[in-house]
Parts: sequence; C-alpha cells; structure tokens
Amino acid sequence: MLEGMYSAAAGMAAQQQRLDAVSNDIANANTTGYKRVRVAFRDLLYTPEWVAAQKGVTEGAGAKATTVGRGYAQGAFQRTDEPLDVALQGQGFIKMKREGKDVLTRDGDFRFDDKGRLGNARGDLVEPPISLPAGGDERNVKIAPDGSVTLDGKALGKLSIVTVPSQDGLQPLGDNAFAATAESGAVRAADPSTKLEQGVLEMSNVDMGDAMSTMLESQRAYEMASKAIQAQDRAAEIANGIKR
Amino acid sequence: MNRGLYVAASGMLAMQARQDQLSNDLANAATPGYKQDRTAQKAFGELLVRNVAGDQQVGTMAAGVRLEEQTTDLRAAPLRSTDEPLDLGVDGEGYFGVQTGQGVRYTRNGRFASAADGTLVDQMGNKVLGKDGKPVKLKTDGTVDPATVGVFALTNVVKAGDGNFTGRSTAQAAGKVRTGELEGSGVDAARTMVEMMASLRAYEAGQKALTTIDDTLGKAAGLGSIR
Repeated sequence: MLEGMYSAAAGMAAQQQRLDAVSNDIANANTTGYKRVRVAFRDLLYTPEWVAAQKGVTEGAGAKATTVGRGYAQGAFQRTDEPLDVALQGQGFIKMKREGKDVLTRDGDFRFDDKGRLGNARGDLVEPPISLPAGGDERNVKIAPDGSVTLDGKALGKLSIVTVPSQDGLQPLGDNAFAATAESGAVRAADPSTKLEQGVLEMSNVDMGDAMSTMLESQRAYEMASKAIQAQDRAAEIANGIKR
Repeated sequence: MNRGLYVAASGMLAMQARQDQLSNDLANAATPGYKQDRTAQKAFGELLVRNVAGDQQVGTMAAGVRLEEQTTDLRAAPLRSTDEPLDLGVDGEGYFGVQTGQGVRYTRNGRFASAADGTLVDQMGNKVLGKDGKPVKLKTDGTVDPATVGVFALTNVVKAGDGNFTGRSTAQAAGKVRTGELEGSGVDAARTMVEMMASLRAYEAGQKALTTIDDTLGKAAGLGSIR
C-alpha cells in the first residue's frame, strides 16, 4: 500500500538531481566556454494494480533523472580584443596537452607562458605546441579562422580544431576540459564549418533566465511530490484509525 | 448487515490505488512527454435485496467499487524552446521510434544524445529510428536533420515505462519534428492535487463508514447482555 509513497520519493530524488545540475550551471554562468548540463527525465516501470482494480489498471513507480551530457548550444561571444583570445564558432574543440594527456576544450583564453609556449592559465599547452620566437611581440600574432597562427606573416603553427562522434560521451575533467572515451569515440578533425575567431571569448551558454525558471519548476515539482507523500502518510494514518 | 463493512473497505482500497497513480503523476510533473493516467470507478455489481419474511423486493445494494477503464490522456503538451540541437519535439500527432532490447518502442520525450558511432540515441542509449526505420545518423557538425527523424502514427497506445509506449504503427504521422524544442509534461498539477485531496477525503469517509458500522455491530453484540 505504500507504493505511491515510494514513487513520489523517486520523483523528489529526480528533481533533486536536476536542482544540483542547475546549481552547478548557475555557479558557472560566467565561466568562459562552459557548457550547461543536460538532465533527462523518464517515468519508470508500470505494474498491474492487483487489489480493487480491473485488469489493465497499472501503477507507475515514479520518475528518474539521467544526465545525458552537455548542452552544446553556442555561447555568446564577448569581444576582448586580446590577440591571444580565441572563440570557436560551431561544434568542436581545441586540442591541448594536460600532464602528457590530450584534452579538449572550448575555452580559448590563451597566453604565452614564461618559456614562450602557447597555453592557458592552468598550464595546459596547445597541441601541437606553438611557441613565440624570442623577441616576438604577441600583439602582432594573428590567428586565422582555420587555426593557423602567424607572427608578422611568418607561420608559427596551427591550432588543432577537433571533435568526437559523440560529445555526450566525453569525460569532464574540470577546468573546462574534456577527455575522449570509448563512449565518445576517437578524436577527429572538426567539420570545416567550425571557425576560430580572434579577439573574442565564448561565454558560458548558461541562460540565467532559463536556469532560474528550471530551478523554480524543479522546486515546485519537488514540493508537489512531497505533498503526495504527505497524502499517503495521512491515508496510512486513517487506515490505522479503523481499529480503535 | 456486515456486508457494509466490505463495501466500505473496497471503496478504501480503490481510493488507495488511485492515490498511488496520482503520486506517480506528481512525481512526473516535470518529465518531458509524460502522459497522465485517468481511471473510472465502477460498482462491482448490484445485489437485489429481498425482505426475508415476505420475500418482497426492497431494492438494490451496491457491493463495493473497483477501478476500471484506465485511460492515458495522450493529448500533446505544449512544446517549449531549449535551444539544444539534440532536443527534439513533435509538433502535432505522432511519436518518435526507438529500438530497445524488447523491440521498437515509441516516445514523445525527445531529449536525445549522440552515440560513439555517430547515431542519435535516447537517454537509455536506445537508437532513435528514422523515416526509413534505420537509426538516425547525425550530421558531421553534430546536429540532426529533423527531416530524417521518423514520426510514427500509433494505435493501441499503452505505457511501457522509461518514457516509452507500445502500440501498432501503421504509417508516418502528420506531426513535424522541431529541433531545440521539448514537449512538456502532460500532468495538470492543479487538477492532480485536487483529485488527490478528493480521493483522500473519500478514503477518510470510507473509514468513517467502516467504524460506524463497527459501532452498530458492537451495539448489536451488546444487546443480549443483562445488566
């Protein structure tokens, strides 16, 4: 008789999971290149109701949330006019090296480190490596839409724009980087429609209004499921009152 | 006379079952493409009550209730924009088809993802079927061409859990696939809450009837005692 209580509890757990994901999105609303988390809901198993019902009447077991990956909608561009800031227009990633391993990122907030190597603030280096020749002025660096990096017309290297067959299978590593896995498939060159733009950064694709309304919706759904539990509890209390 | 006890109890059991269904609806108040269940209550059948002494008809008496005729409210919920390239919604009639381990299932929940082999899959990893009945391939830029995704017309639709339905598909439906949009949940929260309150009160009334009959029986049992 407590099935309904458990299905409502499952619904609350699902909403809790989405609230966690949305909180994380909101916390990263200003993180360059951040992609919001996609949470999917589904209903669960239906079992036949066996007392006081005819064949064909069923009871569901609640809801479940699953994370299906990241939302790869394009984030807004912010113009910085820094020569080493780049943003990707379209699907894809820039390949980098982190502690000897290949990682993928959309965060194009680059700089030359003290050894003149192109990388980001965390110390990840672009792959293949690109270095600034001694005495070169980084203000004269040009980055072409296809990723070619030149200094005063002289080629320094090329940023590698890549993608994977399934972005949803990528493993998030933190600091805006992802690693390819068996679920994502092997890294390959990105679609030619993906272009780099110099002097801009891609902002987070978290839409605050959207995140807020999702949060409110989740909160209300959570509340309603908790009301269902209260009603079930009240029913149990009434049943308990039959025998005085 | 103690038949009344069982009539009241059967009413309580039916209300309990209805509460379980309403809880499930509320748990899915935010599940895309979820469809709400409705049930009708029916009497078990009626007994003809006769006067024992004169064999006169005194009328009929219901012998309790049970839930019957579950129907799923399959009306489409409004689509809302999510701007996600792999969120798909059916504008109008029809269902997406997914290939599961148990055969083809149908769904209105279009929160899809990509698989390593470049095909479109649902949240369980089942492949989404195209108009030709084969898995939908993603374009090289990671998006999906809505024209390739199958929308199936369905008859005998029954819920199968995991957001899916079973049914017999005869042809492609008229509904249009829209990318970046997701169908909302079909749960009418206000109505469900009201029904939950009403059902709880009916449950309570059943209990009151039960205890009243019990009181009466207690009195009857006390009649023979000599004080």
